[in-house]
Amino acid sequence: MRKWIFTFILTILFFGIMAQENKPSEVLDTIKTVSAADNQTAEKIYNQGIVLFQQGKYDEAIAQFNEAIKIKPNFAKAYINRATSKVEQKKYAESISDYNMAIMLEPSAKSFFSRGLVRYQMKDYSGAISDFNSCIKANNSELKAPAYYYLGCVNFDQKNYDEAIKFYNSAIENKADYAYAFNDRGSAKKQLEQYQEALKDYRRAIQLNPQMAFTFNNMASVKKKIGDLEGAITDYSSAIELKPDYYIAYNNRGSVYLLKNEFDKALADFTKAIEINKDYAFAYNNRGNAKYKQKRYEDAIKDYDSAISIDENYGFAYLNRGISKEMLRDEEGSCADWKKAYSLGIETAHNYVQAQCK
Amino acid sequence: MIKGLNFIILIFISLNIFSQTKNVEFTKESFPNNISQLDEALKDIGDGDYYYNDGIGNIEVAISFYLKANQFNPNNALLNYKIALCYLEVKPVNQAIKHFYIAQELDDRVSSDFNYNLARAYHLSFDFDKAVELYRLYKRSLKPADLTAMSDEIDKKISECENGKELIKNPVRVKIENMGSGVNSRFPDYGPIINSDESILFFTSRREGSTGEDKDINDFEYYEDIYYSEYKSSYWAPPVNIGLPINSFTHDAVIGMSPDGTSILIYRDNNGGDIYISKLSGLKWAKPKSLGSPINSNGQENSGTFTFDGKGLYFVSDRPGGYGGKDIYFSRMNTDGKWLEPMNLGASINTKYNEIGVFMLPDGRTLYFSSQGHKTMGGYDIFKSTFENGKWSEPVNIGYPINSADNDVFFSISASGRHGYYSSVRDDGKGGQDIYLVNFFGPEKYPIFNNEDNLIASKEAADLEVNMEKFEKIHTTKLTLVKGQITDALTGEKLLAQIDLIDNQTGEILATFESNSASGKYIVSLPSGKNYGIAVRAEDYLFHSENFDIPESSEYHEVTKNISLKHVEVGSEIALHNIFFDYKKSDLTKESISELNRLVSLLKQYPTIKIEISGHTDEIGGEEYNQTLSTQRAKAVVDYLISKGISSARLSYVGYGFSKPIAPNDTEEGRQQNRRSEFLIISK
Repeated sequence: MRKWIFTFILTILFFGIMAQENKPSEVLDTIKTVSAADNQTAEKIYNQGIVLFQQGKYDEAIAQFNEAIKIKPNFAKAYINRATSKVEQKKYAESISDYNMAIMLEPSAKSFFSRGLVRYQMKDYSGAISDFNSCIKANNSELKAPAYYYLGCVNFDQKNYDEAIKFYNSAIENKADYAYAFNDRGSAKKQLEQYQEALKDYRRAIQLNPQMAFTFNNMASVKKKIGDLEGAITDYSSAIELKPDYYIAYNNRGSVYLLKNEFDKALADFTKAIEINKDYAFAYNNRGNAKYKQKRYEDAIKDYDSAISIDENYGFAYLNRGISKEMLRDEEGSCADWKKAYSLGIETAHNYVQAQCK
Repeated sequence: MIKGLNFIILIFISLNIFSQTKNVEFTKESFPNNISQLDEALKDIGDGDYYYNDGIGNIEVAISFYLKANQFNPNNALLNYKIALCYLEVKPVNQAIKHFYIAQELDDRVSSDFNYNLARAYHLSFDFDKAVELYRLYKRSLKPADLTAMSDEIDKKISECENGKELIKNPVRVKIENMGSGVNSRFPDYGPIINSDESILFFTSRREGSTGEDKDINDFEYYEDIYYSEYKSSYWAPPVNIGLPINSFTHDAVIGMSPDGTSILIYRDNNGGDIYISKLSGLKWAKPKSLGSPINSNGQENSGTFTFDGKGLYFVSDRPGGYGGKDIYFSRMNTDGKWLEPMNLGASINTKYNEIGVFMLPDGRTLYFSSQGHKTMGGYDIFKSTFENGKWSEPVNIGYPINSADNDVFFSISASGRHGYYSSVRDDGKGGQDIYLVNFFGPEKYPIFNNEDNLIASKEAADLEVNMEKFEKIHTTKLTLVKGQITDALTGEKLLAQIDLIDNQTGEILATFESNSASGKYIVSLPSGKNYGIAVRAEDYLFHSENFDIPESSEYHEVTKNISLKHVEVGSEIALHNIFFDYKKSDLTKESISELNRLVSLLKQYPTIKIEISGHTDEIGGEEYNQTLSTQRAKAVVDYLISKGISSARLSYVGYGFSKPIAPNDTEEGRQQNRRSEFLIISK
């Protein structure tokens, strides 16, 4: 009530300025007294910040939230939105300190969840786990399933696939149509080489959300693993149909075509992947391999060169280039490439060096 | 290649099906009108036979005569058969196969050896299955006496084909290159000996221009001479005849080199064929010296390789006491520099067939040699054996495509181990044997593919699902702005007045402010959600009241309300907008207190004035009803004033019902204005 009145007084004084142009000094003095009290200046500036955020003007939005926080240092929402703006700018560390402040002022499931996400993004796994657990404890019905889901992701990233599956299960228990959780659980099972189980989860995920191109891609890769090359090609093709710029799926499908010795199709897919993403070193490397298999060693080397120019630490591209150079009887060149590949951690290259290089 | 060959044959056979022709003999009966040409053709055949019998060196000549005769009469089975046999020796083999089939088509009994020779052609073409089939067919066709003589040979051919089938399944990783026209000629070139840094190649050639320019009457090829070629950064320079005193008028072949590269081992025809050595001093080669006994024997010694220290020599000899044909022997030099009695390398290396072309790796225990025995796929193949635990390992065929079904000989390996050199007869040959370079690749390697998946769904979302907080509600955004001018009702003079803003709910004065003394203007902003009373006061004037009931939901709007204040004088009348009653009743509500108290203050400030309170209603309900209600309501106000200590003598009341409307009654707004209380000063 009191807050409301102060706001009100300010309004009146504001108009008072207009009404009493001939008594400015008196009015100014009164305004000073009133503005020290609680009012909505901070809220207004905060709201402008949201508008700017929505326009993608993150720097300007942050400036507004800064101002709002200056006026109202315990303005939890302003901290949260400043954090969000910083997340958009990928300034994760800065966003964390804002979330810390917001949580200190007004702990909420939402804030825990958001900070958990950022910590997960920063690979601060223990921090993320603690936040998602706090979020679950806060018992927000909307955030419970996602918090379990992300606990799954945190474990997945740390290769604790069995643990991850347990959390994905909980996520699904809380949200039976959680397509992401089905996809990820499938992926965890894939990592555990439970391929049939993985396929089941992927199929369910697609049933729930038929637009998830990446799930088709993942399903295809499992089929490739179990030798169902036709099935893999069908699923990669579905992924591409859903997402025509899905260069990863093109690169993957190309590799399957190559397994089937369908060179033209393989080359076309790798080339398409490169057209979509000219910096996709994997596709250059794989196209190089396709050309190697066709005994087009010079052409292959050009592709490996491209892969290496994109990523100068691409160990496999050096390894493979060395293999093609060997076939051109460029012994020095192949040895130099294998040595480089080994220095980048490719063990196979070491065997080649020991066997064939002085 | 093999497939292509079959294809050609197929076409050929089908052509013949459609043009079934008969064997045409070279007789006057066949060519009654062409006697002179017939004679010519018969002479060509005779010449062809003559040169064919000379041996390998003149087979090309034989072919040219046969082809001339064949042009005159292409339909003679025997002539085609002879042409096929020539091509079988000097290649290309597909020409041999073609003429074999023409011959067969014309006369399927052209030769009792037909199947055998056709089998050899397929054998050389790596079509081992067909070759085996034909060898077996041939074997079955033999008379018992011939079978006894031929059985072993045919069985060996068949096993060679079986070896070939196995070897061709697992080709070794090499690239084989013809040394090119810089080195190879259309004549036999063979026996490559490379120095340690692969900068000089010595080899043996039977090309034109050999020393003495004479041919060996045994095969009508030029005598062997030794040549060398130097590698010039990217190519082999044209070979140079090493000249005198090394090359002589007869056979001189290079067969080995000392580890330091300063001496070469030479084969010469003398004494049945002996090994000689020549040292390079400065730029001159010394006159070759025979290695003498016990290396050389009355038999033929024709290949040799030193051990790494130069104190041991592996060499080939057909001296008696071996396992058959040419065998490989080893001799060691004693401290006096004399060669000790050679030892046969034994049954694991030597077979009843020939072993030739020996080469020892600098490691001192890896021996390469060519053999017609062991698991050859035809002719001489190159084998490798290592000396381990005091014995030679079972020789291993070094594999296809280095070895072919023809002769593959004189294999040596460069010091780096990356290249091999040998002599072979291959499709890309320049004629006769040629020297080939073998590039060894390492074990087969499989390039690594890189693929990735999008295993975690949330990582595919464009943004993190962090929560943005919503807009804060700004209360002041919804207000009603009341503005206007305060003037004297009579003179229109602009007035400085106090404006009280009252929350009627609580009676609290929310704020008090003043109008501009010069313009009389004022502005009040009223946030939504309240019932406001506004009281305008000025010295010596009657107060003026306004009511604004602004619900929470009302949006921003502006109201202009000009207020004229009246002096406290008889006849001045004021509407009391902030006096409220319960619905259809005359009970004052608590929202009225503030206004009523103002009235009390006024009466106390001017203790002499007498006033009349009047009540007014709208038109809803009957006239009588409204008359009564208005009267009761006016009375209720008066009663309140009395209760606050105002003398009843100063107060009167009257109800007017709806008889004095100040606004039309057809709108709610108008009716609200008409529902009012007023007071009138009746005396001062």
